[in-house]
Amino acid sequence: MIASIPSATLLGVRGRPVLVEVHVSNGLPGFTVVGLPDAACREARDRVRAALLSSGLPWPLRRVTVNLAPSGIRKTGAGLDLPIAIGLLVAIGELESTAVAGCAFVGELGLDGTIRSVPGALPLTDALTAPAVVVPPACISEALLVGRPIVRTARSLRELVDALSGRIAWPDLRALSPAGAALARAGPGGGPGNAAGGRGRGDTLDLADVRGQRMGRLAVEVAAAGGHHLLLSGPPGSGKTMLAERLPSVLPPLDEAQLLETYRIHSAAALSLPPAGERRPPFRAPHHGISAPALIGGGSSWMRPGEASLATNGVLFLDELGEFPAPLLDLLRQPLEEGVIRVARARATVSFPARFLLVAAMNPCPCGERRGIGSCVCSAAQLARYARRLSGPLLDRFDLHVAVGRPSVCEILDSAPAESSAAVAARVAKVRALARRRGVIANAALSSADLEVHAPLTKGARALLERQLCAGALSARGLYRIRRVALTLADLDPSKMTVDEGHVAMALELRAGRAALLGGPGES
Amino acid sequence: MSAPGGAARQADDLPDVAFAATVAGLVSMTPQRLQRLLRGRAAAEVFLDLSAPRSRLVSRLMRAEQTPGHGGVRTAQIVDAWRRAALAADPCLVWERLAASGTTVHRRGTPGYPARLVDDRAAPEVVFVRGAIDQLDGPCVAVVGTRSATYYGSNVAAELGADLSDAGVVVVSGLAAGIDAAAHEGALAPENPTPPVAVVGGGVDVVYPASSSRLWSRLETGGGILSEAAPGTPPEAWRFPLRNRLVAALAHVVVVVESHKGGGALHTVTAADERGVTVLAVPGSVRSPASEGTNALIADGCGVARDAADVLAAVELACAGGWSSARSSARSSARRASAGTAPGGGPRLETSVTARLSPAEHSALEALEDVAIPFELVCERSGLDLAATAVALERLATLGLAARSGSGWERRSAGRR
Repeated sequence: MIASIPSATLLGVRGRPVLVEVHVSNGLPGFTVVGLPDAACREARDRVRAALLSSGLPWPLRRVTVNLAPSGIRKTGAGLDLPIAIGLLVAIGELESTAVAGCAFVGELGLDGTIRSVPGALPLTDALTAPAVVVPPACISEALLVGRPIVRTARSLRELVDALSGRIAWPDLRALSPAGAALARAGPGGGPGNAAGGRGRGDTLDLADVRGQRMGRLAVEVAAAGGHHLLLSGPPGSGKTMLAERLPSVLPPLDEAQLLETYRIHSAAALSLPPAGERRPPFRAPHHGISAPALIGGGSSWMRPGEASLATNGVLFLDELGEFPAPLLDLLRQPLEEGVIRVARARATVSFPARFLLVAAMNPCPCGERRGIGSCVCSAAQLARYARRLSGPLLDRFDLHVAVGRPSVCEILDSAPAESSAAVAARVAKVRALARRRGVIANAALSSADLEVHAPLTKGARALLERQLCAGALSARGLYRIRRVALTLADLDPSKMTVDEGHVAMALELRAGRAALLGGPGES
Repeated sequence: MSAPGGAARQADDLPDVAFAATVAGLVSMTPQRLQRLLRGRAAAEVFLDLSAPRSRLVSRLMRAEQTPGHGGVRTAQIVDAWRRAALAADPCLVWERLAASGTTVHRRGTPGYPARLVDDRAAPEVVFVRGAIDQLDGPCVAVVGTRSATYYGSNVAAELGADLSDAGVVVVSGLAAGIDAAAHEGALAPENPTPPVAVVGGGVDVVYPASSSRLWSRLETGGGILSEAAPGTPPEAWRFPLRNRLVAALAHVVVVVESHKGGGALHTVTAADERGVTVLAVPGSVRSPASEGTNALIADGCGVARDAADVLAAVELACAGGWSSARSSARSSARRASAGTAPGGGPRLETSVTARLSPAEHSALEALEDVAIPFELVCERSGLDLAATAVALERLATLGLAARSGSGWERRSAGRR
C-alpha cells in the first residue's frame, strides 16, 4: 500500500536527494502531490496517469497521495515523474518492492510512456546514494561520468517495468548512446580519448590568424599565462573579438577535476556537454542585453547557473562592455573577488561556482571612430559619461587594459602567418607550472606578501615603480597589479630570473588603456 | 514686489542701462529680439511698453519675426506672456544684484561699450562685463580653436597667448576647453602687461565648462569676461555661434590654432570674413585630424601664423600703421631662432638633455611625433623590441621629453608642462 523510491531534484548546480513516498488507500479516487512541488512537478499527476494507461499498465481508482520528502525544500522540474510512476506501481502491487530495491529513478514521462531527458542528470546522479540508478537514455553519458552507481536506462515505461521485473534484459547503454559512452570513457578518469564527437568551432580558431597586433597578442598571452583579466579597447574592426575568441586556444587544457566541474555546471544548465576528448576551457560570450539572473544565475523556481558560472575554468567574454548596464557589471564583482556567486532568494540561498578569466572589449569612446589617437569627435562630457558607465572597482579588476588599433594594410596582406596558438600555449603552460609551484593556480592570485617572496624587483624596476607612485600615476593597489603582471612577463621570458625594469615598463604599457579611458582624449 | 509707490520712486532714479539689463534678462529673450526691441529707444520706455496690456513693440516684433498665427488668439497669448514676464521683473532688484555681484552693464552708444562693436552689423544692444575690458581699445587678437586640442595645439596656443600679451596685444577668446583655455592661460601669466578678455555664451556668472572654474575666476580678477546674455543665462548650444561673431568682431586678427574639419572655430572664421577681419591659421601635421580644419584654411589661401611675430605683423597691417608693437616680441623671435637647432625642433633647452640619452632612448625619441602615436608604432619605427621601447619611453617621460597621451605616446618639449 506504500512505497518509497529514491530520486533527486536540482538546486543550483547541486542535486538534492528526494524520497518519493506513494500511499494508496481506499477512499474517493484522487491524486495529490504534497511536499512543495513546483508547477511542472504538480502536473506530474496528468503525465503519470497518461503514461501508465498508454503503456497498458493499471491506474488505481483509489486515493493516491504522493509525498516528496523532505517536504521543506522546493522540488522543481519534471524529473520526478518516473519515481512517482514506479512508486505507484509498487504501491498497487504491479511491481514487487524487491524489484526496485537499491535503485533510484530520474526521468520525465511522455504521455505515450517514453522516458524523456531531464536537465542536470550529472549532479542529480551525484546526489544519489543508491547502488543503481535509472536515467533517461539521453542522460546516460552524464550519469556515467559520476562513476559511482550502476547506470541503467530504458526507452519507455513499459520497457522499464519489464526489465525491472526480469522479463527482459536491460537495454545496452552503448547501443543507445555511443557518443555518450565514449564521453564517459574519455571523461574524468579516462584520459584524453579519441575525439569521437567531431571537432567544434573552437578548434579552428588559432592565434596564427591574427595579423599584426603585437600588443594585443602579447596581452592575450599574458592573460592566459597569469590569469589576468583583460580589457581590450579599440575602434570597430580592430580585431578585439578575434583576439578574445582565441584566448581559450592558448589556455592550458582542463584537468580531471576542472572537467568534471565544468560538466556539472553545463549539465545543471541543461546545455549539451562538449564532445568526448574536448578539454578546451569553456568560452562564454553573452550579449549585452542579458538579464541579471542569466548572467550570475538564479531564476524564480529553477535556480539555473548563469553565464558567469558556465564560464568557470574558462573565459567570460563581454563584448561591447560599455553597452552592458552598469548595475549588471557590478554583479560580477563578487565572483571576481571570491570565485563564487551566492544567489539568495526567500526560499533558498544557492552558491554557484564562478572562477573565470574575464575578457572584455569596448570602443575607446562613444563615436568609436577615433581616426587617430586623441582626435575623436566626442565631447568631453560624452567621454566622461562613457567612462562613468564602468564602475571604478570593476575597472580596477582588469590587470591588463590594452588599446588595439586597426592593423595596417601591409600587416593584413602580409602572408607570413604569425606564431600559432600551440607555440604560445606551450609557454603559457610553463608559466602556469611555475605558479602552481608558488602555491596558486595563476600569478594573478598571488597575495602581496607572496609577491615579495616570489617576485623580487631589480634596482631599475624599483626605481621605475617609485617614480610612477610619486607622480601619482599608480595607486598602492595598482602597484601590486603591475607587479603581478610583471612577474608573469618575467616568467614568460626564460632568460631572466628576476623582475627587471623592462618587465615593469611593459606591465605599465599593458595597462595604459586605463588612464586613456579615465583621462579623456587629451592630456593623460 | 515691493510697494508700488516706493518702487516707482526708486525706479525713477535708475539709469537707462538698468532697464536695458532687465529687458535683456526676460524669459525667451534672444540677442536678435533684444536688438529689435531696444534699437533707438530708451530702455525704460521699452520696459513700460512690455508691461502694458497691449504692447505695440511685441506686435511689431512678431510681425518682424513672422510669427505664425499673427493677429489671432495666439497673438494675445504671446503678448500676455511678455507682459507677465515684464511684470515679474523688478528693475531695482536687477540693478541691485548686478551691483552686488560686481557686474557692469554697457549699452550700445554709451562710454564703456567696446568701441569695435559699436558699428557692427550685429552689435549687441547690451553687454554684461565682469572684470575690466577697457583694454579692448588697443589691438586685439582672437586666439581660437578646437575644444579637443592636442598637446601641440594647446602648447602653441599658450605660447601665442603669452607672447601676444607680452607684446601689448589683448588676447580675446571664448573660454572654452582646449585651445581657448590654453590661450587664456598663456595670456594670464602675471608678468604680462595686457590682460586678456573672454567672450562667453551664457551669463558671465555661469561657469561653463565646469573644468574652467579656476581660469574663470582668474579672468574675473586679472582680465575681463564679456557676454551679451544676462547673468544667470544657461550656456545653450545656439548661443555659441553668436558668441563667436562677437569674438571675430572684437579682434583685429583671428588666429585659428587647431580645428577639426567642420569644427566650431570655423564659425569664427566665417564671422571674421564677413567683417573683413584678417584670419591666420597655425599649420599642423597633415596626419593630425585636429589640424584638418586649419590646414584646409591654409590650402584655401589663408595666412600662416607660425608664432607671435607673424601675428604681430598682421596686427600692424590691420591697424594700418596706427599701432606698432611696443616691445618687438623678443621671446617669439628667440623661439624661432632656436627652432631647428635641437633634434626635436623644440627649445634649445633640450640639447643638453638629449646629449645624455642612450642610443635606445635616442631612437625612441626620434620615433615620436608631436601628435600621439600608438606604442606599437614607436616600436616599429625605433626597431627596438617591446620591452626596450617601454623602458626607453618611461625614461624619456621622466626627463619630460615624452608623455602618454590617450592610449599612445607623444613628444614633449623639456621645460614646458
